Amino acid sequence: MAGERVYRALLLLYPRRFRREYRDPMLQLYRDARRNCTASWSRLAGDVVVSAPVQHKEAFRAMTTQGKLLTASLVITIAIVAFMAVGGALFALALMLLLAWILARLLRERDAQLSSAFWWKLTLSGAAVFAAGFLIFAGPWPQSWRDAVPGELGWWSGMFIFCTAIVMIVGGLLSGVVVFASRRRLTQ
Amino acid sequence: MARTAKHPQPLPPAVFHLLLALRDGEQHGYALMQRVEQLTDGAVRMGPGTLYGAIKRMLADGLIEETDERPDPALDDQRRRYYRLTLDGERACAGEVQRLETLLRNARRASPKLGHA
Repeated sequence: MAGERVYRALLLLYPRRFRREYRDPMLQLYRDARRNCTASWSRLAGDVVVSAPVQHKEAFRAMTTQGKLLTASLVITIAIVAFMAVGGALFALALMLLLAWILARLLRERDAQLSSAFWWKLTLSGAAVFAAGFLIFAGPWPQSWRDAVPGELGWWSGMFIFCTAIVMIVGGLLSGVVVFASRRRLTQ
Repeated sequence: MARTAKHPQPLPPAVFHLLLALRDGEQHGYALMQRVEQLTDGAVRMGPGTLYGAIKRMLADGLIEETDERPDPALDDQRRRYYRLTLDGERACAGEVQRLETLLRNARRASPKLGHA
């Protein structure tokens, strides 16, 4: 049935672990509800839209601090790249500040154990990756070397290197905010 | 904060309704969804995501447990999962009822006409 196929696809919106555990009983419940006409399709689909973010939030909370930071950094970087493509650097900056503020609030709950060395190591590593990328793509290399690399390969590898660098720098700086916020709270 | 008998913490509505529904005995997901709707006169309608999200939390908190027994295959689908209340679940449910009763009593005491308009 088309409805069940769409519902099955909608279940992909849940975190993987939740899906692994409850996908089959949820599909069974969907079939029961549709067979007995006790729930409309829109109600069942609407429930996915409402409950999937809740499960993602719980999955995010259950992550280690480093996992949280990496995930948040990835989301922030993807959002920045998307916004830069659509709305320019000002939107990207505003979004980054907003996300950093939300993340700092989320992380404030249980992060005193975050290693104080983690943030600057990650930031410096990100800066090093960025510098390496700059050197690779804008260094004083002979034109024959540049011509040897296909344009598309160059573009994608550049995106990969610079996005990785941004993820590391943003993640490192956010970790720094968390570390200093935790210290300030402990000393108050 | 830990739930104590003296100062019980409020249960999320979905969890409370599921605990009430499970007081009738062990049930599977679809039966629970229907029972909750019936108990609340249709006011609370849970979808599969909300239901299994609450079940996941309740299993983690030890309020319910999955049962190993399955009904006769001729009578029911063997893939269904059945859940039942644990002792902690019964206590939590009773505690929530008591908390709500106290809340209502205090509200009525503060404003006797409340709820009789």
